[in-house]
Amino acid sequence: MPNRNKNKSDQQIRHLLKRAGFGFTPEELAPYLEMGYSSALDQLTSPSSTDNSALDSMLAEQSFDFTNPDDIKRWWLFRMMFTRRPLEEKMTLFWHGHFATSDNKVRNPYAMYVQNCTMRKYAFGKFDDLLLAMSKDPAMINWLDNQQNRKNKPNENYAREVMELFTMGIGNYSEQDVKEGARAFTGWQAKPDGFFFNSGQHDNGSKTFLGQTGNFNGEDIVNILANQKATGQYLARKLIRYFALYNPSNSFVDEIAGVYKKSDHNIGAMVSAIFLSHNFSSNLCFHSLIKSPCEYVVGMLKTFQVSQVDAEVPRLMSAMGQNLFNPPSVKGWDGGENWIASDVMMERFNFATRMISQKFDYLEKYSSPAKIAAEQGLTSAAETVDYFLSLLVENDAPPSVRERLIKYVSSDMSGKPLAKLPEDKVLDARLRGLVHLIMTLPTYQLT
Amino acid sequence: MANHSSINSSLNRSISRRDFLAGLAALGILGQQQLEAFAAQVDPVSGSERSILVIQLNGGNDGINTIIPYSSGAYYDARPKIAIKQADVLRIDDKVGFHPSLTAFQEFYKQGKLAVIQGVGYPEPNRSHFRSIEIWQTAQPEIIGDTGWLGRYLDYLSISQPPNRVMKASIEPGKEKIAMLAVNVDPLLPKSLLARKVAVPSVSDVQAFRFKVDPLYQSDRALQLEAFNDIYNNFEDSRPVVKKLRTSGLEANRASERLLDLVKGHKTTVKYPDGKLGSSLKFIAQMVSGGIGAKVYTLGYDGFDTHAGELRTQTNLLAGLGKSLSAFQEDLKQHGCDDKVMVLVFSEFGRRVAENGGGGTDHGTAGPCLVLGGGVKGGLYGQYPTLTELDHGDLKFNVDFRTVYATILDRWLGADSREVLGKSFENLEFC
Repeated sequence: MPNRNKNKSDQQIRHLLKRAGFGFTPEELAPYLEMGYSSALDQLTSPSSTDNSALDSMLAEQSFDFTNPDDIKRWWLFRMMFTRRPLEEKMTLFWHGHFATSDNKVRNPYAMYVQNCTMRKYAFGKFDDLLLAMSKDPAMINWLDNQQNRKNKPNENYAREVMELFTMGIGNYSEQDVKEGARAFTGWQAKPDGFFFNSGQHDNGSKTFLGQTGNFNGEDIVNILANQKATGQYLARKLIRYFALYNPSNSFVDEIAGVYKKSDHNIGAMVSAIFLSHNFSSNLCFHSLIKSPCEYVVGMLKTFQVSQVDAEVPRLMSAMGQNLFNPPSVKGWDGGENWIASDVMMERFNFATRMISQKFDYLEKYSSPAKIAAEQGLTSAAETVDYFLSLLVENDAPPSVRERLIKYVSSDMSGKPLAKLPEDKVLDARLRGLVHLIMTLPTYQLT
Repeated sequence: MANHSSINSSLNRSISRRDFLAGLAALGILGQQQLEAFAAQVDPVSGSERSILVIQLNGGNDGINTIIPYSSGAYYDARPKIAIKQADVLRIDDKVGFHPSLTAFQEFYKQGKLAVIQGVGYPEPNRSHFRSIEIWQTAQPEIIGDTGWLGRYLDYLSISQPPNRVMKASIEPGKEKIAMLAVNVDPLLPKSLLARKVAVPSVSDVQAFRFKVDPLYQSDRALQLEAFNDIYNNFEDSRPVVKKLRTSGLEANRASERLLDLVKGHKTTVKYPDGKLGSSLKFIAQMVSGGIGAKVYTLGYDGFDTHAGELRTQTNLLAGLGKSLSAFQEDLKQHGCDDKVMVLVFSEFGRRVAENGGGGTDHGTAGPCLVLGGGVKGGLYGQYPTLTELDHGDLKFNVDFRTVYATILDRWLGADSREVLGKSFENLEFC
């Protein structure tokens, strides 16, 4: 049955695009469906081959002020919304959560912006390069106090977190390694124009770090860490949890960690391997992750083609638990069930309300529920409910949901049952309410 | 999900509470309606009006500059830049005193309602923020636990009450006292509150905590909420993640209706300091005086990871803590509730004895716990760790943090700490 296969492969491509990006507009989806899974994956994982000049000119028009903490958030959300290279932004968000740096302490939006560009630049390359760039990044240096890490007066903050959170993970190093590592990073400082090696503050003595002894500096530490088996394992597990599954099997982690080693620490190769794995295409993977606020918000804006990121959006995302450029700690966002504490759920429900209110009706491209229903020629309550359940949750809802929604749609404003779809203003209210209810479904929170 | 009337009829048939709850547990996590039944129990022995507020100082508060060993020469030797001058210390006795910004705590201490427990920690201290937070929150240093100490207390509470107490509690249909066993006043649920049977709502901004609909069709709200509840209650799906989402969504709407009501009814003349800590404490005072019946409140206070520029940062943070808790105590007093809440303040670790090169301190080990409230026997507890015999530059702990938990569980909350902590710990005398 070719048609069914086509449906299956279309579903896989949608699954890929949601995980490798932040959802899609119908126009964005079409070419990927056309080219098929493997070409879609190639295109997503080699972002530099995709022309992104439309985004660049759009960003130029917005004239963002990169010294303004709100502007850098909107700048990044614009990128997520309008890029032709969705995986590039998704990876940058991964690295932002990995090398989690907060402007709450750095107090320098421009430095945060520069760090974000550095993460994007090295997002798919050799991990060693990114790790070194982060170790020399001014925002990072301020964030983890390496500015104060001086000869004979070491500050352990960066040395500890680089092992615990950025490379190997806890349990793979000793307190002595923290102390010795800190000595190697002494004198690595930031100046207003970038990294600065303060040789007078660098400890040139011999250090013993993870069993190796030498007159190590920060570069040496970066090299030693990038070559640890634990680092490949740690990155593999974290990438899988971000892109595919919360609880991967050890063999899946080993497989991706093996790619880290074989590819000479190439992140793009690891990500491709995850998306090509049977684990990713299995039913267990579909709708198994809870959308981050970025995925939830940007995905919704794309579905309804709201062609703007208004000034309120970053604050609302922050209320949902994801304040861009201000992760809650150096560990980044834990994600998963942490996205769905009760008040955060309420914020999600209310963001969906905002999306279907009249707020965006003036936007020419905005697909209000009534506009979509008219374009699709939906004439009965059942047809309408089916269409939106398919569009928004890929029909991932038990039959009781469909029945209850049909009951809701075919009622007047006092809740009295109607024999058919209501008309005019009541229809508008019902369609907006219907879409709101679908976006509050447990399965709409999933990707 | 079982509805309210079926719970009552089950109880009336005198099924043992334990069996009944085991049955509920088999259905999944307990919902709000089940929790209401627990909260309706009045137990004079364990004092059902008593509650505990746990404030976590995130980042590792420098305990040595909080409770200052000002008579120790080693203290001044180790901290040439950031030691607090003897003359500035707010003295407790001839050895230790409070940080100068803790005037409020000095006042609490004079009033006899503040216990300062010195040198609290655990064996083989972990200097990772995240692991050490996990150890404090799970109270399981030896394993990676998946429930928290407060969550296990809530589980204990939900299965330990004798059935006759539930029988006596008459719940008039339509006038149920809607209550919550615990409320987390942070956007993230701490691991301390992870339980097997009880779901805890997190509410950081009560004013925003309301199910909204399209403003043009405001009258549709009741219909949408009804549909929402029907859909969530009947959403048959075996995936654990979907179950969690259902619980969270249902809890959100149930808690919101009750909390907004409660906040509306609360009046106070106390002015809280601006900022999140002040507004969170005000909200907790509203819940306490409004009789929500929660046994546990949790709250985080950020910014204590003072690797650099510690003096200024810690001064501001501690001053904020003192002023906010002072307002909180005053507010509770106005409502006659100041002897009902015990406040525990802790941090995941203290900091290194010697200062570092940046006018700060690196991650350390033991630190003080502060316990505040009308039910507290004020005073100094535990020994201040020696500053001269250190473990890799860090303090050696004298008091296991689980003895603090055990004391609160056994003596304040009337629980059995062995059931919650897995083994027996000595009790301190602070309450």
